[in-house]
Order: sequence, then C-alpha cells, then structure tokens
Amino acid sequence: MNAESRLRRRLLVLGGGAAALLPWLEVFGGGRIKEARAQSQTPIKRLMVVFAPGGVIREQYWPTGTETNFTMPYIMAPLAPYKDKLLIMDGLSQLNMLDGVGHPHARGMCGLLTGKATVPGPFAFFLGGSTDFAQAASIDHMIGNKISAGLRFPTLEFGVLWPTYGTGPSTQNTISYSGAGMPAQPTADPWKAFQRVFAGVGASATGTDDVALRLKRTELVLDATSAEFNAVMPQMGTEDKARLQEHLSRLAEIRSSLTAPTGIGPSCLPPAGITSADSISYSTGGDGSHQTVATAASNRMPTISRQMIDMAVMSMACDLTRVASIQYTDAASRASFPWLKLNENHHFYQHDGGFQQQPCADIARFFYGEFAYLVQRMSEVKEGDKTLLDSTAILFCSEIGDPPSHDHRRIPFVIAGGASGSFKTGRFLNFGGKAHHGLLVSMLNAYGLPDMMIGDAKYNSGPLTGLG
Amino acid sequence: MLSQSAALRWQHLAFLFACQACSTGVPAGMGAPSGAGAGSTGSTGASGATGTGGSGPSQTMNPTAAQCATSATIMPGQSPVRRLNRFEYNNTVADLLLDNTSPADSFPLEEQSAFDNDANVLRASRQLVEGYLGAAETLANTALAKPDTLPCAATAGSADVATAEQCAATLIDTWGAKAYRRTVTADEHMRLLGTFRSARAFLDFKGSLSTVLETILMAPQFLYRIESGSPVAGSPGVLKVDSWGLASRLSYFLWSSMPDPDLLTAAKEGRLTTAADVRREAERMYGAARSRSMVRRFTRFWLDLSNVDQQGKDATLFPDYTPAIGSLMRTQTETLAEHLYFDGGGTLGTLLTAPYTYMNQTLAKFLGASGPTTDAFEKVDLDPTKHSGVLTEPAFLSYNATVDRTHPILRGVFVMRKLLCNPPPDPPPGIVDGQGTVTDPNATARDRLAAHRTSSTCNGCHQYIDPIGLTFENYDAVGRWHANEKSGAPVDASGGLTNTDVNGTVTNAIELNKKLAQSAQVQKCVTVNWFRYANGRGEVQGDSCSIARTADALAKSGGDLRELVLAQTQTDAFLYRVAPGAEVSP
Repeated sequence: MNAESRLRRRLLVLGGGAAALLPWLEVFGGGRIKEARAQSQTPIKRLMVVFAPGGVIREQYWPTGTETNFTMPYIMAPLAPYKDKLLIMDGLSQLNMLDGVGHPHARGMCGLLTGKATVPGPFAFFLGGSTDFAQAASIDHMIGNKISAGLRFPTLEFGVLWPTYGTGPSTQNTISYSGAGMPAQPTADPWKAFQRVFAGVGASATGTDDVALRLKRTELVLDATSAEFNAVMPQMGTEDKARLQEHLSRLAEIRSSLTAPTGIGPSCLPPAGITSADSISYSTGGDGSHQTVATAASNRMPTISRQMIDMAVMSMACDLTRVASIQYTDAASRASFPWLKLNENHHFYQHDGGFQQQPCADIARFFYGEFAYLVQRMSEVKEGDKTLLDSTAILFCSEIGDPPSHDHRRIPFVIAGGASGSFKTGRFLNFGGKAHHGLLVSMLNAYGLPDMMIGDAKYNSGPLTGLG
Repeated sequence: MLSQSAALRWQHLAFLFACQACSTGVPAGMGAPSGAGAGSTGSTGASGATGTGGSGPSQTMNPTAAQCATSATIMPGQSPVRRLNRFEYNNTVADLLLDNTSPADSFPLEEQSAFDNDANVLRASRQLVEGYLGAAETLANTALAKPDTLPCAATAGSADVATAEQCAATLIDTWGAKAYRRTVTADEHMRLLGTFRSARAFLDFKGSLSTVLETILMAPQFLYRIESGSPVAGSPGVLKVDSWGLASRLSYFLWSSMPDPDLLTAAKEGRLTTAADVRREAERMYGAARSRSMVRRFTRFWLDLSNVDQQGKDATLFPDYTPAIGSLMRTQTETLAEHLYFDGGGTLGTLLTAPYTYMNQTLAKFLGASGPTTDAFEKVDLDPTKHSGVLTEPAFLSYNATVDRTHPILRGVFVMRKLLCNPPPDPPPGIVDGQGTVTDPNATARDRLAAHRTSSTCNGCHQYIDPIGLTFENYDAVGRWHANEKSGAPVDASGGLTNTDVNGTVTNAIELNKKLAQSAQVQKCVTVNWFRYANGRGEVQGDSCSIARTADALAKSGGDLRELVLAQTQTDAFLYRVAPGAEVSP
C-alpha cells in the first residue's frame, strides 16, 4: 500500500470537526499556518527512538557474517528488506547498570538514553532497592531542544500500552527525560495523542474570527498565569522556586507552540481514522486509584502500534517536531500477546513463569515487525528526491541484553536511516563490549552537539569510531 | 537546583544503606527497640514507604519521645510546596465549582512514590500544564454558564464600565478566595482585574469573566499549596503556618480536597491557630464520611494494593481466578481497615490479628467461605487458627506470590519493608529473582530456598527474609489456606523474627502476626507511613521528634487507629514550616 491510501488526508475543519476536539486545542492554527520547512543550506536531520523491552534472544537475533555481508536471523528478519538502510551494532554494554541501586530493569531504563547509573530514591520495584529518576536529560531531549527549536514540540513521546506496571512515571518505565529528574511521559492514548499532535494541522489557511479570538484569549490567560507565578516566586525557597520555574517554563513552551509553524507540504497527511473510540482511559477511579488499564488493552497492541507509528511519521512529515520516540510497554511488561497465542504477560515469559525462549523470541520478532513497518512508512514519505528515512536516524533499543539474566551486555542497538549522511548504513559492526556511552556521544555529535557530556564520566570515552 | 539537592538527599541515604548490609549481623536501624518510641526504624528520608534504611544508632538522630518532650526547638523538617495531584484536583473543582466531571482523569499519569501525594516527586510536565489549560477553560466556561455562579445580574455586562468591573471585582474576591483558599490580596485583585480589562478589549462580558476565572484556575495559588506563616521565637528559620495554611493542610490530608466552609470560617475568625484548634477540627473532620476514603487510600498505598487487580494467575491451577476477584481482594482489605479505623475502638493490633474480615458473595465463594449472599461486603467471622488480620488476606498474599506458587521472599521482604521499616538491601549483582535450580516438582518453597541457608552470601539477608516469608506457606498463590503440600505432607510454616523488638520463633503466620501486633517497631513503622501520607512527603532527619511523639501517642493510646491519624496533625511537621531560604542543605 502506498502512503496516500493508508494516510488519507484529514482536514480538521474548524466547526464540523471541532466538537470532537479538546476545546482549547482549537486555538491551534488560528490563521497562522505557514510553510515551515527551513530553506537552510544544511540538510534537515531527524531522530526517532523506538524502544521495546526485555532484550532479545541472542542466538535468534544477532547477525552472523561480515560487516557488509551478514545474515539476519529470526527476530531481526522482518527488517531484512531494509538491510542496506541498517547499521546494526553488536557488543555495546550498558556498563552503568553495574553501578547504582535497584532492580536491573530500573537500572537499564534509567541509563539507556542518559548513560547514568541509578541513584537511591523513592521508586521501589520488585525486590530491587528504591531508585530515583535519572539525574540527567536523555539524548533525545538534548537533541530535540536543538533541532526542533521553533517547532510545535521539542520532542514527542508515543507509548504503545504504557504503563503496564505501576501507576505513573517511575524508574522502570521511563527512558526519556527532559531534564534531571524530569521524566517525559509517553502519550499512550491514541485519540488524545492525535488531538494534541495534529490540532489545527491542515486547517484552512485563514482560520476564523472565532478561533483567532480564542487564541488571543488563551495567550492572555497564559500571560496572566505567568504573571501570577512570577508574583509568588519571591516567597519561595530554593527547591520550590525550581519547581515553580519548571511549571513557568512549560507555560512559555505552550505559548510559543500555539503559533509555531506547521508544514503544509504535500507529504503532511495527518493519519485518518483515529477517533474517540481509540481512547484508553486512565481514570482516577473515584477514590484516587490510578487504574493501570493498559494491560487490559493488550489485544489492541497491534492496532495501537500502527496508529502510533503513523502519528510519529506524520509528526515528522508535518514538521511538528524533529525528534519522536515510540515506546512499547515498559520494563517487566505486564502486556500479553493474545494474537501470537501468548496469553501470559511478557515478563512471565522472561522469568516470572520460568524463562521460555520461543515466546520471548516471538514477542521480540513482533516488535521488529513493527519496526519494519515504521521503516517502510518513513521510506514512503517523499521529501523532494529523498525520503523521510534518509533524513532520519531511527534508533531501536532495549533496556537489557537478554531476557532471563537481565544482562547489561550486547544491548540490541540498531540504527535505521542515515540522518542525512551522518551514519553509514548497510553494515553490521561489533564493538566488543564497549560502553554504550560511545553511541550516545556519537548520536549527539551527529546532530550538532559536539561537546556534550553524557552519562557517568568513567564510561564516557568519546564517540564510537566507524559509524559515519 | 531542585534535582541536585534532591539527589544529594538520596546520596545521604545511600550512605545509610551501605551501613545496612544484612551480612553484618545487626543492620543499622534494626536494633531492637527497648521500649515505646525508642525504635530506630525509618526515621530518615524515604518518601517511598519502601526505600528507607535505618538511620543508625545515634541518640541525636533517633531521640526518644521523652528527649523530644524536653526539647523546645521546633523542627518542621522539610516543607515543599505541594501541587494538587489528579485526585485532589478533581475533588477540589467538585467542591469549588460543583463540577463533577473529573477533568483530571485526562491529565497524564503522575509520578508517585509509595503514596500519590509525595510533593517531592510530583512534577509539572508539559502535558500536565496543557491539561490544566484545557480543564481551566472548560471549567470556567461551564461555571459561568450557570446563573448562580455569576456574581451579578447578567445585565451588568451591558451597563456602564464601572458596573461591569464591579461584577468582575466581586468574582475575583469571592471565587478567587475560595480557589486560593484564603483572602485575595490587593495586588492579586488588581492583576486579575487587569486581565478582565484586557479581555474586555476583544471578548464579551461573560467571556471576559470566564477568562479571569480560567486564570484563577491556572494560577499557582490554586494549583499549589503556597503557605505563609509567622516567625517563631527561639526557632530561627521556622514559621508557624497561618490559619489558611493549616486549614488546607487538614483538608488535603483528611479529605484530599479544599477546606470546607466551616474550616475556612474558623481560619477567617482566628479559631484555627493553636495545636488544640487543629486537633478539634481534625476530630470533627475525622467523624465525617469523607475521611473514610482517606483510610482506604492510605491502606492501598501502604500495603501496595494498587495493582492487585492487574495480577494474573495460572488458569489451570486457579480457573476461577479473574481480575475481578483481584479487585474484590483489594476491597476486602480496604474495607477491614475502614471498619477498624472508624467503627469504634480498632487498634493496630486488631488490624494485624482480627479473626474476621469483610467479603461479598463472590469473594466468599472464591475463598471457600460462607455467609454473604449479595454483592455487598459484610463482616464474616473466620477460623482464628487460619485468619488473623490483613497479612492473612489474599490481597497481600496473592500479590506477593507468582502466578502459580507462593513467594516467601516477596512476602518476607514485604513485611520487612512495610511493617518493620527495615528493608534488606539489593540482592548482590547478578542475582535476579527467579526460579532457582530445584527441579523436583514436589519440592516445597522451603526446599527451593535451601541454597539460601548454605550460602553465606545469601544467608546474610535471607536469614531474616525467609523465616518471615515462610510463615505464610499455608496460603497459596491466590491466598487460599491449605494444610498440605502437593506431596501430601503437612505444610511446615515455621519461621521467626530476628533483629526486631519481638524476636523469636513461630510455628505459622498466626503466631507471627501476634508478635507483630505487640511490636513497638511495627507501631513506629506504621506511624512513619502515616507521617508520609499526612505531610505529603518523605521524612527527613529533622522529623525524628515529630515521628517519635506520634509513635508515643499511638503507644499510649493502646494502638488506637483513630489516634494514629489524629496525632499526625499535632507534629512540628504539620503545624510549622521551614522559612523560605532557611532550608538546610542536605
């Protein structure tokens, strides 16, 4: 199928379609839609991160062969059609998992995109000690703050059934951090994500008077609210000031996003067919219980996965952001896979019910099938004579290397696409146990952040060689 | 910066953890308390109920209630600004605007440690602030569409400017005061009136009023609990929280919502200043039905019951288990707790030893009990040789089990974390909770843990964990009682407690619970957990007297659960705050 048949153009015409929108989102696109694509000399670069938990079955995953002539076994096989677009990196370890406290799942999630070991904190998980949020921003946010500057979102986080354990962001379910101790939570509700991301995209170029007035009102409220924050600031202590400052900066982000330009090029086609029926409700349950409904929606995972992928692709095509992540469930996932005839949950097959290799392999292969769909979609969206895939690096990753042992070695890292020539694809490399910090540094460098420190210094010995 | 000093606070704890290796014999903080209030459990730092280490033996770090009684220094601990969580937001807009739409249900899920009101972990993410914006606009528009919310005649809008602005001023002073939970200052009034004037330039009268109300609902004075206070002689850096602040502290603790009119009136009239005033109001509020959900919520968070309905069980072994049963299990334990806290004379001891519980027909059928014939939960007397309190109920027992078998380690660690406030440290690197290497299908849990007893590496901690966990062996993976192992041999549920104030061997969980019910260490640990919930934060070193006094009040009352809650309102932590700029660097 081609892009056009899958992603029918959807115009969010204000008025008819507005009733279904969250009311305040109507202010987007109030007559301010502009062609956003930067006519810059330097090529556009984009980043996607795709996370699936629980590692891989190594003998059914890692290629064998040489750098350019290699096989792709059972789990990775769905990506085989895109072999020349892949940079497969064996032999990278999350050495930070050897340090810190807490359960290996928490250690792995915390350090995956930050390179940081866990520190003690309030989040208990299984029998591991209590850990805190990562005390650093993750690379997707560091990069997003640079390359998405001026766009509607610095980054977007899409979640496919999140969280499946626990009740909100915690150390074992979070990989993205907007700053030290600031988890960036994925949006796991397809309808809510759709409304939020694509509000006003494709709306008529003039907008209406009503929308213009509402935009003005929203701007006034945000300004007045910011004034209240500034007014109470002097009576705050140091830590409280930081808390309110964070809130204040969110208000500023939202205000500038209201009028951020969005692309209206021919490739910007907001996904069709996502409706309120796709919502996943996270009710407070009347008595304040935060129901983890994601697990109950397990059978919807394939559908939600495609919806999230389509939205992520189009958030790029419409230039709403240049950094997006898609997170499948969370570490120690409670999601089950009934369409694979796997009715126990993911973590059960990892070790709760005793390690079961083939179910784990089948689950991992499902995720790689979804990755392949993402790569396909990215390669179908044209930008001049190139595709979105050409301008993007998609990093596939997991928090551990191997399901039953929760091992920190040989973390599955694969890059698809080249980020406009930053990465040389069609290759299988082995780094022989090096810290994955090298990869994180290389990613930062690729996006024009040459001097950034990342992660725990003792594991950081600069970028990996041979990626570009 | 916030995160840095927060990290430092936890590094401090890490040091304490390091002192606590099980293999050293007596973990720090685990020393047997010699009397009420002398327990040294958990008097530092974890905002999560599960993470706290002991705090070491120093008397200054762990003062007794008697020592605290002679100390004139006020020690409020830490006073973070508290953001309304989703639950509190819903309740607050319901009380403020009579709006029962629960708009916070669409906000992103929140960071929470063991308790969902931990101010130190609640953040302001972009999605949350977007949620506030959407909710505030809708709430304001809805409220102003109701005739009785409009503070003046609707015709005021078409009258002269002064009349229209008078209406806005009234709205600011009435709705603003309710939303801010105190009177609106002159500066705030002028700023909001300025917003009205700005809005009036391009919006109609009602739209402009709505813009003002929306701003109020977006303001930090509404979304956060910002407190003022007055200096305290002899305690530099300490403020006595003013009446408005005390009203909100009481209200968000006991009712998870804004103060009711009685409370606000008491604050306004100066009848909410002393500890006795606070106690009086707390008693009044405790008597209201709204407090019951507080106890249920506390119990849910403390005993880690939030996800009981998410657990799966082996369909072959337990074909009648469904998530709905898990939900009923949670209701059972919460209902028993509610009964004991509110229906007269319940004690902490009873919570741990009651030979009765609450069930409805479905749950009773699942558990093989008889009595209830409807969906309503009712009291059921049980065999006292098989049932004694919440630790013999299936919510705890099944959640701390695998899908098909018991899990003595989870159960033992649970008791050490939640009841004794003395969690063991992480397993050594490379050890992952798994199934072990025992292959005999008839092996008992005790057999499977044999390696723990022969390895000195394992035994360092498992000598404490396993003997607690194994006492629950009479309760299977869904919490049902059974006398015999698969092999037909009788279950050996013997075990015991070491390094507590109630050491000794026991033959089963019934005897274990009896010991825990007599433990001052358990009393103190439950006190610490209530402290965290009542104050919306983890305890810090400066809270040791607040906690010691509360534990003492609990002990003196004979473990009275009502006193356990009410005493939380009498601490330095509850009545005072740290002055801005006087925070102690961790």
